[in-house]
Amino acid sequence: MAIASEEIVETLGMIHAQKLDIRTVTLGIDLHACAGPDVAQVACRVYDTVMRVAERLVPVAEETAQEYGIPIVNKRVAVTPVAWFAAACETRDYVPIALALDRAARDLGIDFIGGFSAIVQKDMTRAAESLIRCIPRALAETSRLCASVNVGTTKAGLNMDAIALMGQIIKEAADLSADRSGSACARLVVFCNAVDDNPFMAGAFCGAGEGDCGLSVGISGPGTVRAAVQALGRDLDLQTVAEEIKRVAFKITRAGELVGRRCATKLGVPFNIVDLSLAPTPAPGDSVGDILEALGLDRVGGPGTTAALALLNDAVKRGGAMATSHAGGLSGAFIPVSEDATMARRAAEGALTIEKLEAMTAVCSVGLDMVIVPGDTTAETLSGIIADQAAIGMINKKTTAVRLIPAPGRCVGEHVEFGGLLGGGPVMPVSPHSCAVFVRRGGRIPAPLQGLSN
Amino acid sequence: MTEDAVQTNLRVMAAHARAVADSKRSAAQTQIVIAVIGRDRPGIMAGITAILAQRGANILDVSQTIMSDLFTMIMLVDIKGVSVTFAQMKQVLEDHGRQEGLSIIVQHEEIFRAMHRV
Repeated sequence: MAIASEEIVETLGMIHAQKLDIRTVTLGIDLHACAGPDVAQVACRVYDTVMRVAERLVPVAEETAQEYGIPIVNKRVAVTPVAWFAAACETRDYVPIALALDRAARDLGIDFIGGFSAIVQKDMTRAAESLIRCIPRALAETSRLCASVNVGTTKAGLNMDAIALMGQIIKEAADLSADRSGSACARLVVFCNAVDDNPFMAGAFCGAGEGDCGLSVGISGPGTVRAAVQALGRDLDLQTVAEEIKRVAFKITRAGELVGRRCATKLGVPFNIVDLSLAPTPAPGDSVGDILEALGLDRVGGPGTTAALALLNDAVKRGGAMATSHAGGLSGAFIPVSEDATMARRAAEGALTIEKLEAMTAVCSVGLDMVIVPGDTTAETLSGIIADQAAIGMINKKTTAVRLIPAPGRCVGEHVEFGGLLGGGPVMPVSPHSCAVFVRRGGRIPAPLQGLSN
Repeated sequence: MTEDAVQTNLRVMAAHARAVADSKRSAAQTQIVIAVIGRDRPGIMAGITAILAQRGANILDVSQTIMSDLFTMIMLVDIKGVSVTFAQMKQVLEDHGRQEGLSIIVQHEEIFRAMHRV
């Protein structure tokens, strides 16, 4: 059947008026073979491997974007969690590996490289703990490197020692980048139930069970969904609205799958997954908050927000799952505050609070994402917030993540700007009540009964 | 018609449908969509078709309307066997658009098929 003019016009409108784009093509690269006793040599091998495998990623992505007339916003690489192969090093200082990864990212011309990561849901190996302690310096001395730590799973419970440590690490990373308002923390995410094939930063790594390399795609398109919802007016029932979102999600995902497969074929690497996540950017109209308000909320953060988000999240998955044979990654709406102009504005107005964001986490990915908190927030309070988020993930068998930025020297209500895709937002108030004794207990929160699924 | 004859006919029809689908799939790689929007005046179509003809591109379908002084056109073009690459063709058309004050968008047809067909 020929393509009708209306369909062509609809696609052009989605791309040119509603800012439909492919958020990211992310090449996963296994680096286990780089292990060795000498960290300088390991760093060399890491640089060479990433450069060799990802050599053509940027030109191929740009050429494909031209062919289909749809922008690919980010080109990224995700590597094996560094703690896994750095364990063979004699030193405990893994910063040289971080620098090698960052240099490769710069020389390739990609936007971010992820995988300075440790997986510690039950206990920390010597290497994992060393890596975590290297994170603040690694992030402060780089600009494209992303780090992540998995501190809990539904099967293993929560590692409260690691959660307590991460509170301190976030503080340290903020202090080391105080001249940039603590922006190093924007490249550090703490997970519960992290996934192995996530193409989105800062939490992308090439996890267990992945191949030597593979290309994944993260879709986008909040502007397209908002336009479709707005076009329905204010009177149609929610079933009809969900149906419309599903239809749009199908189209967006098909575009992502096509672009991803084409890039993979040209690169000669396997196509991995499409991540069905609506990812916002700070650009006007490219906002998940706008969709929730188009559904009928006066302001995101008010009553009804969690329900509206649940509807949106599920409808996107239904449409997306039909459109691709390999959905994966996080696959859920993102609600990063500073990266979404409407969310940031509502937070500044006081309509959106950390407590509401915590509730919203229960029905989408990813959680407290790009939330700026006062510089004097204690490490224990940060750990308490991480533990709360991780508990929601653990009990509900879902991924949750925390990306907090305790902006040094900044107080509630001040605006902090990071620029680019990271955007900017207000410093949000944090509950003043201490959880220090709870956090300092350490140990593990046992795996819940939900984990005993066999 | 006997049961056997019906079965045979169905098999022939299925094979035909497969062949059509296959040819469409391979054609999708060489078919591009050109969308043009701008203030209406004489010669817009002539300028674009001249560029296509000089490079050996074959126009398969055109739909054109004027909406309140605005010229809008969508063209399906086969670029199999043309003398330039897709990127060069796109560049020439976009440059032409800039010179003439037209908005010209050039894309592979595959993206539309992917988004609008199950």
